Amino acid sequence: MKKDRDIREWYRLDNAAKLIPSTMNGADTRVFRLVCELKEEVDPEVLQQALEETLQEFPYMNCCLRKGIFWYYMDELPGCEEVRPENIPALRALYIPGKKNFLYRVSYFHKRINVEIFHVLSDGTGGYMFIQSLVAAYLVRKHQLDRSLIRIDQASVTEKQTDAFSKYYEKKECRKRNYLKEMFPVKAYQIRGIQDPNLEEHLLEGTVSVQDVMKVAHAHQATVGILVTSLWIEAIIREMKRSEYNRPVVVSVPVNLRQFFPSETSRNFFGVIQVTYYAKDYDGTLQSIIDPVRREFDRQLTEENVRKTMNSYSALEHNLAVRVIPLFFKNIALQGIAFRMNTGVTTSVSNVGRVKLPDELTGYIEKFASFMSCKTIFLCISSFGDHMVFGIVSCFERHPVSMHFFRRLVQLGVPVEIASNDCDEGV
Amino acid sequence: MQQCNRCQIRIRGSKRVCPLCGGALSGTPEDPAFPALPRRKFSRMSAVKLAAFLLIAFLITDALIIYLLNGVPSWMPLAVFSAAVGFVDICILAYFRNNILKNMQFQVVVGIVLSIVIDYSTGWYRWSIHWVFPIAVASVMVATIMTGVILRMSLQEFVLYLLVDTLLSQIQWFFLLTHRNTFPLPALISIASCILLFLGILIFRWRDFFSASSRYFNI
Repeated sequence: MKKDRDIREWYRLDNAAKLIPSTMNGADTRVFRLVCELKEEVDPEVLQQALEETLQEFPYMNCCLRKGIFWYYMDELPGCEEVRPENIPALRALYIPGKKNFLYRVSYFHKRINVEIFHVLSDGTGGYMFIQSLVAAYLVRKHQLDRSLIRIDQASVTEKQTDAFSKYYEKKECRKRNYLKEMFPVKAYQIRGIQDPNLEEHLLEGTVSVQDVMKVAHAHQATVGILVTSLWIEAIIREMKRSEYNRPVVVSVPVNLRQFFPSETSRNFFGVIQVTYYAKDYDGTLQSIIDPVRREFDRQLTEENVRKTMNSYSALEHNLAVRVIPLFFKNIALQGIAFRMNTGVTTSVSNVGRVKLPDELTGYIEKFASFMSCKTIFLCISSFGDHMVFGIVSCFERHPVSMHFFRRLVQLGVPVEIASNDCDEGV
Repeated sequence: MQQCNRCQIRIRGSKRVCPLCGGALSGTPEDPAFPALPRRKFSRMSAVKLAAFLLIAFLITDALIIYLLNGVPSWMPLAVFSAAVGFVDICILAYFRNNILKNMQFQVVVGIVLSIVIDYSTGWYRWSIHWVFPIAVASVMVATIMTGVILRMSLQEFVLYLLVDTLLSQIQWFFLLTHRNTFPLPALISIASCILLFLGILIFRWRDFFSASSRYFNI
């Protein structure tokens, strides 16, 4: 028995994280992967040293997830994860009930550094804060760069682990939402296919030029986010039968709340908007999708709407009746609610955004990519320099939606290069 | 780099066919971006499934015996109950397989309940409450501490299990106060030793107990 006089830190989960362990199911491990591809082979020893250095700024990452009577919580663990060559399938579960293991994984494969994070710890933006610091620490050590010239972020350790949901929660704003309606959403079209027999996620990485995509977006008077969401909807419609046209295609789009509420947190701080489109409104032109999608984005992405949504998320957590229900029953209820709510979503598109690093580092880096585990298909967009990467995760063995998506990009004059982790015995 | 002429897309790595359309590729393979997924057969056999199959086989055999004997043999209700408890026990074992301490607590509870039911249905000689219950709670308390020591856990990681063991031992008061326990010495010894041990922890290591409680019971 250890004489543990220095009581270790523990952390309450933030609002979004509270739902995540209960909604893990099959291939959907709620793990996301961020990749940094360098222009040189990765040196594992230097990467391990860089990881240890980076974790001093992100102590919150060094935790395991435990079950309490009422909520999950995170217990600090000593040491840090070991950097390993990538030898297990991507997005494997990081939380295994009862096991005291880290909720992140760092691996390398030739020129690529992979960081996989359980969503309880962080969202995409927070994850990118971590991998940027890790890559900066790696390159500084590897190439003996002048550390004083490299500034990744200004946030203190405390700011990085702030629970921003609690910070910005306003009680009086929370009663403006109809939860009942949200729990029984309109039934969305569901993408079907043959699932991987081992319940592993299939990764497809499509790389294009940012300039080329911007040209197409400007030609259609749309932002990159709206263009890609529209192209993704079009690709899904091409896979639908006419008899399924009465079901809408609903795209869930995570929104980074940091752009509305100033915060430097690396923990979860995101909301979700849902873009609904009926295939019967599609007249064969991309513009017939872009216009309604733009209207949906404009309607939902106002500060007022985002504030209401954020407060409604927090209101549930602050409800005394919800708080005192034992975790066992909360888990059962949340699984049921998540199942109901999933029937109202067809797919997800997350624009993680543009990665910016100091000029001293950009010469060593090829691109960044992101992937999120899911039950059907999830598209993440990341860009760095002139490389835009579409990280598609699918639990299906074949990828017809991705095929339509990439072929359409090529048709629009955007050359595409793809990579995948599919088994090579045919598709 | 490889190329799919159907999709007009360049493909990185060394693929036999296009990952999108399954078509043939031209060009030269190069280093991949990911290791390929293994094509292995996932074994779906598990202890729980095996136990479920054995339980169903046992119940079908029982039904056949009832049909052939034209009546229910006296041993059958207890055998069916024991088989059902065995199945539940295996489910608990599988569910908590990664948490040895929690598993121990549940196994002890199942064991105590099973022994009381068997004792009651075989003539109520009270061996379950005279001996099994007190020995089980005292043993699990010792086993919890030993496990903590062997696994080099800090006290705050298992102090709440000791609290559960202490509370479990207090159930014996029910049998004592209702005079169902006619040989109270083992029960009293186990109750007293559990309380003393836990009070000792509370007095000497209250900080660990407070820390464990605050995280475990946080609302």
